[in-house]
Amino acid sequence: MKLFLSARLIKYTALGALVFSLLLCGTVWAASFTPPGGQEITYNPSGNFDVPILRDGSVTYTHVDQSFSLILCNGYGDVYYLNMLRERNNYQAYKGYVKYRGFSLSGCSTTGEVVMLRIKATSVMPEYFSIVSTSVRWGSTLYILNDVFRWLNSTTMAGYENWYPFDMSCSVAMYIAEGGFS
Amino acid sequence: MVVVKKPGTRSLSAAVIIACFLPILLSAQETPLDAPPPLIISGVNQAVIIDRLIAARAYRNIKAGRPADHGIDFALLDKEMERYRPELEKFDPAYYGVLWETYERMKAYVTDPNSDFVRAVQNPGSVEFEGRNPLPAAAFVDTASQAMNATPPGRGTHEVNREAGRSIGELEPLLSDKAKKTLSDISAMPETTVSAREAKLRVIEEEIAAWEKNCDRLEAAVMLEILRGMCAPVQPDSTLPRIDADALFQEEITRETR
Repeated sequence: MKLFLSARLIKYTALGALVFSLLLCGTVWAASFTPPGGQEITYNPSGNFDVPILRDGSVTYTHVDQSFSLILCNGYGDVYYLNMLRERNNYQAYKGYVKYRGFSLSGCSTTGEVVMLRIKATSVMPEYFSIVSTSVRWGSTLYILNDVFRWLNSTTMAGYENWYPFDMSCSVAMYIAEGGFS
Repeated sequence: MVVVKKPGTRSLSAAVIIACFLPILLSAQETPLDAPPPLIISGVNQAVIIDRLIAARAYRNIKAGRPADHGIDFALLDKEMERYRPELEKFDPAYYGVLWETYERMKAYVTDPNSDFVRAVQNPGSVEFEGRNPLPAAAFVDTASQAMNATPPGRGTHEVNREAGRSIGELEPLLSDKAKKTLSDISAMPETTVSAREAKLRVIEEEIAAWEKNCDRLEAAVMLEILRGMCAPVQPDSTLPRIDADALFQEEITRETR
């Protein structure tokens, strides 16, 4: 009887531990953001993905798993992970990584590097942003996406997107999913 | 014959009738519920992602077996876009033009039953979009699409390159019968031997050289490059250079402070 009870205890303890660990995994990983009037975007706040980087003629991979001060996403579901590197009176420079969901040319990596400039408002021009992000195709060619946008209202930024080597342009909406501008 | 009506009989028969007709009533109500209400724009925040909203609706329509543009009244949407035009042009005079182009592109995708968009939903992975993929978020929830687009964490460069490139199996339909036979013979050889890899590469190179007159040379060159990547000897992950993300940032900050 005693043996039976302890076996049952072990079984339930193991089951409880499993359920608890599953719960932990679910809560730590998941973060989501729903753009105003749009579809929910799920992302991992610390990244946890590999990014291909072209350097000295060869591709190396860096694993991204860290904290970021600003996470942006666009209407296509791409998530930009950024940290501020430089602050000046009139502008800020950010650097980080991107995980694409809506850019999927065959052979193009779905992650890349990002730099962003935030040009602060002046008396003659409103604040605006410029993002350059990369995608490595077939492990050998660098594709570059350029987004220029600014605040449309308190929740949404709107602007343009262009990419190299093709020149298809489209409108893009950007949102702050997490963190913010200092 | 005397029928004795007990007090509970009437309510029992009513319950039986309801139970019998309930499924029919419910299924009759499903049709209008299934068909979503017409797509409308409820504010400027939706106007700037109108192409995404159309894509999401069209995706659901195609998956449900309806025409892609079911419930999308483009005459109404044109008017709605026109309604937000002054506000958007006030925000940025050039912006409305680009937004309109994006909207028109999506409209063309949705109204043509043979468009790339429709084919991509009906047969995932069959269409390659040059740049922005117009498919909505729902399409990427599909595990097959995720597997196709994902860069799995912790994989080595060669492994990822090989997955990003086309497989020999995918290229096979393009090859001649002779080349197919040779490749089939080679595939019987152990994958890891250098001679097998070199032999595969040689067959493909010869094949591509023979395509010169009837194939896009650029495409052939790209394929050759992919195959070279595929046939390269596999390096263990540990030998591949890796850059630590934190170290990369640290390097930048150090440069800044100099």
